[in-house]
Amino acid sequence: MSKSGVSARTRASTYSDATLRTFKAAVRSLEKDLPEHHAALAELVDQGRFHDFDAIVAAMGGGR
Amino acid sequence: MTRSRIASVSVRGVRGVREAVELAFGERGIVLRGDNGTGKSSLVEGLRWALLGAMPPARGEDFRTHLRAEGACEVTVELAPHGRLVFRDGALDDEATTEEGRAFVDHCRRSQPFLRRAELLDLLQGSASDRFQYLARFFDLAAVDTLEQDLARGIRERRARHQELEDEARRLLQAIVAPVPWTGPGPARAGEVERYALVESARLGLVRDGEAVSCDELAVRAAASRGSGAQWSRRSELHAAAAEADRLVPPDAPKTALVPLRSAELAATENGLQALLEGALAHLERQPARTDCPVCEQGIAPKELAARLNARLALLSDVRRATSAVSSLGDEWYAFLRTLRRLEAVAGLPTRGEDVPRGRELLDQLDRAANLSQKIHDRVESVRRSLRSQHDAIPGELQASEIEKLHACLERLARDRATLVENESERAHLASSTASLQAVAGAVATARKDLSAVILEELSDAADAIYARIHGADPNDVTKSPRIKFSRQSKGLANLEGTFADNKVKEPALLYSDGHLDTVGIAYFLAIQKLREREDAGAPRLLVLDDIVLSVDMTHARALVAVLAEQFSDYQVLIATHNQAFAEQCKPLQLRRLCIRDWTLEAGPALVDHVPGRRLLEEALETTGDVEVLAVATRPVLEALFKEACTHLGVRLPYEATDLTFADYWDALRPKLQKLSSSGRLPDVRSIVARLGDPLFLRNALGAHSNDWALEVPLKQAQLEARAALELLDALSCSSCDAVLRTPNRRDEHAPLACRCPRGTSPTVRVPFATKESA
Repeated sequence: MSKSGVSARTRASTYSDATLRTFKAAVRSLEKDLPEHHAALAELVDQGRFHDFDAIVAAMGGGR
Repeated sequence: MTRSRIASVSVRGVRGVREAVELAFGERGIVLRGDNGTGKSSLVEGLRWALLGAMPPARGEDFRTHLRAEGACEVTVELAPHGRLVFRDGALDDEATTEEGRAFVDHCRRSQPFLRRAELLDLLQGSASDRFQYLARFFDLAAVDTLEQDLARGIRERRARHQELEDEARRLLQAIVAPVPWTGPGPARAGEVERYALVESARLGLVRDGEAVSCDELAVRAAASRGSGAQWSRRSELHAAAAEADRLVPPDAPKTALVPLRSAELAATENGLQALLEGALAHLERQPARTDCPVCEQGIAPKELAARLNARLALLSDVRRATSAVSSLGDEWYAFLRTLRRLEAVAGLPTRGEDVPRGRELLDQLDRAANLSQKIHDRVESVRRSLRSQHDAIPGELQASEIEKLHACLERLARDRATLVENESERAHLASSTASLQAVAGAVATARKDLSAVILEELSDAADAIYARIHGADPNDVTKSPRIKFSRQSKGLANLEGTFADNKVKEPALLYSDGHLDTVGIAYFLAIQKLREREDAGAPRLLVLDDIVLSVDMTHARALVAVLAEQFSDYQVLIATHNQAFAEQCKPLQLRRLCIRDWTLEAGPALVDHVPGRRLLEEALETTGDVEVLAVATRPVLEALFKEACTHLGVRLPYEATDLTFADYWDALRPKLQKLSSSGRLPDVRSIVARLGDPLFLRNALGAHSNDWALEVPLKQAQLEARAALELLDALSCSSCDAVLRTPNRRDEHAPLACRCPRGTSPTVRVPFATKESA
């Protein structure tokens, strides 16, 4: 379990429709604000790990 | 994927349920009818407690504890095809609950398949913020919630750490600058102290203007420049010498005295010796009559000669004055040069030449020098510069004190620099990652709001369609389903916007009738369940509807049943109601029909399979000779019939429906039936109406089970009432669907009454009991 309390094994396919749409829209809008991390964040959505705070921090290249 | 369904529910020790009561659901579910206070809501709430894990907040501990002395509260739900969940004493029993049971609970807690009227009203009457919070639960954004909370916490933690580091840096920097007179707010970075040290070092003479010096070098210089007693004495000497040098002004150029002297001397030389002249003059004065020169014995005029001699003596006087001026200037130069040489000595500069001559010799010597003026100027400037720079290089006592302080500051800075650099580096990293996390949090929040707007729009469309299906058949109904408009303020608002006679209504809860409001709530609840199908493939197909048609008339209740039958055919439905007529309207749902016969403190609700009111009344007429039994069987049949007939026939009621007794309905319905009978739009029921009697009589007769004086009603009268009730039911009901007939078109006052069901239309007047009686 991650610190967020949600299983990190969750995959995109297990996100509810609304959750997946939210995450995809969020990452799309981050293309402008965080261009250097955008690809890594988009990959997290595909992997079903975008809800995982630690994974996001790691994707942005920093420790917790 | 096999979706779990409820096979049966057993409830024990919850509210009014003491001993275990079991509800076998069957394939489609149950319609559970019971009078007020017979425990039907206790059963529903027991199931709700088990599946949602939360009791209604208003109930508090009393909800589960008032029968607890008899044993633990327990709700067991058997699932089909397999699985079980056991909810005991407020928590799931982990051992007894299967994986399917836990999954079922998990899905139920997200889809909230329970509908209660109070919640409907909360949804419609609550604030836009609360409404949005309520609806947002169904979007199934748990992962988004988790992320938003984690992001907020992560940002908070980073800001706190950043602040902690900043405070630590400020403490360190405050200690570093403590020795020096730092003005303004304390420094936040080591760089500020370094810039300050450089400026101060320049002011204290440790560095030259524009010189790039590291702080380490500054510290070394400061250490070397902190000053001593001997230095301060030397500094005083240099200060005095510099002041003297500043005042030192070279005398006039030697030529200014020498040129007149030389000129006078030349003139005197050219014009004879003074003594000779003076002797001749004296001689002339003694012998004024002499006509020849006493020197050259040439003949002269004594007066002319005397004039000539005086002229030459005047020349000699010029020589003396010029000689005096030369002497004076020479002295000035002598003094100047002596002073200059002394100052050069103080400055440590090399002295020039031997002993300095005096008077004319000095002036002649100086006059021979080339570029005397420039040389003297250079020497004076040189000695001034030297004295000043040497003076400045030695700090005074005050300056030494300042340097000492600066040195202490630089020493502390050197000691803590590594810590500060690390601190600043971590702060920079924290600031960067905080900004990134804020960007993610902002993007998620915005996306969430965008999506909320879309989903609420979809929800409004779905609710609109359901509402229209329930209310759309009536062309006179001008109350439309309110739409939910999303507003991005704060975390999101769900504003209601209703329509009444094509006008926008901002507060539908204040304008809509109770029946419309109930229908709106039901429509939104059902729309939410449809939304859940999309959001959660595993969501149970279950609807639990507890007393939801309190204010909905039977016409619209029947339309609601039709919606359930058409659009929720794969759902299990548990309907709890006290309304006999509504229970009977649920026939198309093919639910198992249960009835709570009675309730006792010892046993709780007693369930039996539902028997239609008409059949109960027929059985009572056949079998019983008890006035009370007959009255109990007759009253619900008439009550349901009166209410539905008043609605269908457009009977104007004197008060709000909730305040009326069944006798009030009868009072209003009686003249309408007589009028319809006389006009031929309805088979003549005037004799039946007469037999049923006036409202007071009827209330007395059918109240026999609950008041003493009513016992005086004779059995024969009670039987008469019961038969009349059955006859009236037949006369007013559709032969196919049992619904009460209605006016097909309110504008056509002559059209016979009919039913809207697809098969039956015309009423049949059956008078079986009249026949029996007559027989």
